[in-house]
Amino acid sequence: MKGLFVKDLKLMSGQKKSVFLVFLIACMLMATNSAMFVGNYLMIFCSMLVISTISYDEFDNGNAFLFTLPISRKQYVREKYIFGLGVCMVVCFITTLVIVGYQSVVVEHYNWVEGIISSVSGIFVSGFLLSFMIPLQLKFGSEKGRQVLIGISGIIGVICFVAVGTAKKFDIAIDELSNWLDAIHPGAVAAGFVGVVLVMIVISYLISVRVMEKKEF
Amino acid sequence: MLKIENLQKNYDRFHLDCSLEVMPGCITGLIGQNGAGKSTTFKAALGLISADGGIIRIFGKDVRDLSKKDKEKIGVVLSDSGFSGYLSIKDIVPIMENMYDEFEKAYFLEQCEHFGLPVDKKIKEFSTGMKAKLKTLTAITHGATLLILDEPTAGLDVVARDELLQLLREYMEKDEQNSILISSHISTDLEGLCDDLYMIHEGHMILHEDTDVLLSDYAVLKVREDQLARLDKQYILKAKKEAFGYSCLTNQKQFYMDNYPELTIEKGSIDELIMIMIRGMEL
Repeated sequence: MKGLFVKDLKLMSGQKKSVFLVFLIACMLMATNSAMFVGNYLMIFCSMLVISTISYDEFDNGNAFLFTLPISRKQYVREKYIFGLGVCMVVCFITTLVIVGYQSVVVEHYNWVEGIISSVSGIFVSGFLLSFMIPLQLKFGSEKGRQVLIGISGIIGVICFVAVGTAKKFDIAIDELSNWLDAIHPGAVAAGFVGVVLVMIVISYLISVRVMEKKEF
Repeated sequence: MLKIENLQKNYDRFHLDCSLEVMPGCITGLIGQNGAGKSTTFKAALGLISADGGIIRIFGKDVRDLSKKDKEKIGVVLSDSGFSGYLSIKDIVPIMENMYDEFEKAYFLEQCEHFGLPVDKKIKEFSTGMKAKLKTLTAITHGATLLILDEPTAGLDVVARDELLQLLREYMEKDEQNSILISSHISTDLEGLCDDLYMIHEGHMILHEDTDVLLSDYAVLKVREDQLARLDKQYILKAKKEAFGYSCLTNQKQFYMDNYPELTIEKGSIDELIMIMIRGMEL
C-alpha cells in the first residue's frame, strides 16, 4: 500500500499551482476574520484534491494497469480512505495552528478553545464529503460522478423543502424542534455528529469495496 | 507458468471460449485480428475482468488467489493502459521501489536514458513510441518471471520495435525459467521471437503450433480449379478463393512437394496463414 500512497502524493504534488492559489485566497479570507469559513473552505478543497487522485488514476484507462500491480482492489479502496482522511487531518492540524495563532494575536480576549474546536470540526466536514464522494467517484467516474452528486444534492434539497412545507402544513412546530436541539449540550451534539460521520465512513468504505470488486477494466 | 482452460466470457455480441498454456522458459505468441479476443484473454488472465467460466492458473494458483509476492513476479504491458499520464518517470521510480521488492532502479534508469526517455516530462506528453518503451521497461525491471504483454510493439517504428524485441530477448536470457505471453498484430515480430503461436479468431483458438513447425511444415499451395479437383485434400487445412484459383494452406508441405511436384508451393508467411485461416473455407 505504500506504493499507492507515494503515487497519490506524486499526483497531488502535480497540482502545486492550484494548492498555492487556494492557500493564498485562504490567507486573504483569514485577514477578513472569516476564520471558521477558511477552515471549512480548506477542508473542502483538500477533500476535492484527494478525490481528484481517483480521476487521475482513471485517466486514459489507467486503472486497468494499476490493478496489475501487486495491490488488491480492497487495498486500493482502503488506501483512498486512509490517504484522504490522513491528508485532511494534516491540513486541519496546520490550519488550526495558523488560524488559532493568528486570531489570538489579532482578536482581543480570543476564546482559543472555541477556536480549536470549530477549526478541528473541519475534519468531520471532510469525512462527510469523502464518504459521499469516494463511492460515487469509483462507481461512476469523474464526469458522471459529478452529475450524480449534483443530482443527489438536488434530491436532498427537494426532500428538505418538502419536509419543511409538510411540517408547516400540519402545524408541526419546527421552532420547538430547533429549540430542543439548541438545548442539547454542545458536547453531545459534537459527539453525535462525530458518530454519524464515523458510521458514514464505514458504510461508504464497504460500498466502495463492493463497487471496486465488481468493476471490470 | 500460465494455464488457461476453457475460459469463457460473454458480451452482447461476442463470446470468448479459449484455452492456452505458457510453459516455463518459453515465449508464447497470441495472434489474431482486432476484436478477436486477445485483449479480453489477457484481461481475464490478469483478473481485470471476471470470467464466466473456465480456469486460469498462474504459477499453479488460481488467478484470484495470487498473493502480493506472486503478483510481483508478473510483468504486464497493456495496449490501452499504463501509469497515469499525470506522472513522470521521476515519479514512477519511488512508486516502483515501494511496490516491488526487486525493482532494479539503476537498470531501469539506465534503460530510460538509453531509449531517450525524459525523466521529468509527464507521461501524457510522451509519444506513442516512448510510452510503449516505458511500459515494457517497467514490466521487465522488477524481477518478474512471467511477462504478459498485450501489443507491446503497437505504434512503434521498425527500429524501435527491434530494440524492444531485443530487450525481451535479453530478459529471456537472464533466467531460463522466464516466460512471456505476447500478443501482436505484427506477425513478423512474433515469428522471430516466439517458441509457439496461438491464433485466435472470434473468441476461439483456431490454431496452436510451434513456430519452427509453422515455418518449416506449413505452406501455401497455389492451385487452379482443375488442380484442386485432383488434389489429395487430407492435409489441407483451409482454402481461399483467389483470382487464379485457390490458395490452400497445408501443414504437410513435404507431402505435396513429393507427390505434386508440378504445384506452386510457397513458404507461407504468418500473415498469409492468418488470412487463409480466417477468410478461408474447409474443403
